[in-house]
Amino acid sequence: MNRWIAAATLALVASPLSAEVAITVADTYPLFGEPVTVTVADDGVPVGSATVSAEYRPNSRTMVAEAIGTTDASGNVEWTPSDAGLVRLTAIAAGSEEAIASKAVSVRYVSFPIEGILTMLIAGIILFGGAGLGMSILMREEKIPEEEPPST
Amino acid sequence: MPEQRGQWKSRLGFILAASGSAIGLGNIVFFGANAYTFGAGAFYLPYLVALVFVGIPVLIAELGLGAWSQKAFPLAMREVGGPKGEFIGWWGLLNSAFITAYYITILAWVCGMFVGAFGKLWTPSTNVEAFGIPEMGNPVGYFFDMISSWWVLALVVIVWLLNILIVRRGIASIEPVTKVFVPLMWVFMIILIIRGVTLPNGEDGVYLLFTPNFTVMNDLNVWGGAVSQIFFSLTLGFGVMTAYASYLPKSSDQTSNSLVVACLNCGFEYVAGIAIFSILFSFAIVPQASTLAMMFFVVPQGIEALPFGVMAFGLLFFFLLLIAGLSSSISLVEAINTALVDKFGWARRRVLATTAIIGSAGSLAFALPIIIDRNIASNGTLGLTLLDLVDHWAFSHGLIIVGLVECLMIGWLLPVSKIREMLNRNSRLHLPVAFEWLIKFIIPLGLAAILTHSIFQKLTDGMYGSDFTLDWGASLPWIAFAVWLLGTTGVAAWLTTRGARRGNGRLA
Repeated sequence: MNRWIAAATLALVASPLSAEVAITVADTYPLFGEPVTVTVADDGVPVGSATVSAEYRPNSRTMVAEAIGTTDASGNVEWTPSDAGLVRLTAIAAGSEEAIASKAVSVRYVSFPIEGILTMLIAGIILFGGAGLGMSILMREEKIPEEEPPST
Repeated sequence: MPEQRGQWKSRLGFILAASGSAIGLGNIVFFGANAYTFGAGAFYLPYLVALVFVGIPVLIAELGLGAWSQKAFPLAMREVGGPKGEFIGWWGLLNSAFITAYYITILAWVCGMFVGAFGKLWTPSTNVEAFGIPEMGNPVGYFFDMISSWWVLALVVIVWLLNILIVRRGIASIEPVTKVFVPLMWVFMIILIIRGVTLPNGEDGVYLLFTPNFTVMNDLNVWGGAVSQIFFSLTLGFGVMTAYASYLPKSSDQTSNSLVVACLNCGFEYVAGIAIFSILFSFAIVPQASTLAMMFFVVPQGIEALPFGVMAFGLLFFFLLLIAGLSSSISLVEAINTALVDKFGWARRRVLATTAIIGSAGSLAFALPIIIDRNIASNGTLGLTLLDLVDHWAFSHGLIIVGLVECLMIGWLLPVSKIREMLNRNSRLHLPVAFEWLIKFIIPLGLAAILTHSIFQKLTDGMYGSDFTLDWGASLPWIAFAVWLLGTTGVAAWLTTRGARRGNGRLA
């Protein structure tokens, strides 16, 4: 599908996997490398033996899937995010292959990665520096000169 | 009697109009989605390489062509390559006309969302009458309810009237409007950035946008995606930049103009990415590589989750989209108008009436299917399929083909050394001889590689659209392809020969 339409209609037809089953994360914004408890519950009742997995950077070409584990009788499983960014958690009921719940989570960075700072600076300097350089040349003469009369 | 050609009143006016043309809906929402898809910060490397080695050189060539010929795209290309050049110029403009038609339909939907942002869009759910779905979550429900209602047709006409109103006196009326629109776009975007990064953990969205994931660097699709992003983002191959530059004196500095326009356009994408990503991260919304989804579902979901000022920021976002879209659509309309005036010497009123009537009919044709065929998806229904298919051919292929032929003609027939000499005479920034190599060899090779890859994909995966074709019209993808190819080719040939028969095509 192309750049305009892809997923537009998917968003329309997509509905919650289950109206009742929900995934909750103890910390709304878990931190990269720090363990956090993930809970799967069906209308408040813990779902045990559910397999929970994580997709780092879902919908991208750099997506990485990772198994987290199986929930205990309290519906809990411990998860230590192995990367920062957007993550989609999915729970699958025991003995089933279908997902019963899904949740997007933002995993915080411990600090701004140095390569991120460099990328931001280099791109910013090239783009705004280029615009500034060009503007400074152009603005030395604001009015556009009248066209020269045609040579005869 | 042929009308007198006007001229930009100031350099700033030209810069704002040209950058306004380049900055459109895609800059605000699609760049972020593309960057996320292709490895976030890692996308910046191929993106900047594409900007420097493809975007800016082609933009310089297009602006240089306009200033040198003092004519709109088809007749400028005629000066380069004779009737064959004029044919490719018209062919490019006809692709641009297809794009203008559905672009204005999408702008009409933006208007509909703007109206909804006054209240209904932010209610928890909508009964989507067209599809008989009770209680569908907003903004998705509102969007589909709105685009499947008849009042969208009125919005299409209104957006066309706005376009005609702005271009009624050509650059004389375009210049003052863009002098307001473009700075306003920057102000609105800065407000969105401030709101975005001050959200809880919004700054982590900035980290997410810029932190590179280099595992994708050996993926050719990433490099192809970057070249396509730059090419389309700068409105190259549309004939717009040549038309705008034709209203500048020959002695104007096109090298600096190109640098400023390209950098402002990409700078806008840079800041838009920050605004969008901070909102997405703060509310854990996964981006999708679709402009429609990002524009109408994903970002509004983020706005809806704001702790306060939902309506104000919703109105601001859709008004920003509206003026960004308008500043682009008027340039597309004006490129066509200028070409018709230059070719046939028609009065501006006649050109405006022709463009408005044919263009409105085209835009209504893109709005109608989802109103008539009230099913929810493009897959398997008429719905959005027509827009999808036409966009695929006119946008993703037509413009690349025009860019390829344009570079070859300017590079080999003009030749490009002539343009380089003229540009260097008038600019403090001197183009090196490498500029000629880029236009003659490297860029055509790159664009040819993208086209070859696309054809190869069709040979292996089947005709584009065959996987979401209609139950009752399995041949629709082929029909759309034939209409696009034969329509643009036939009309371009007719326009080219028509002028020649009348004696209007005699050029230096």
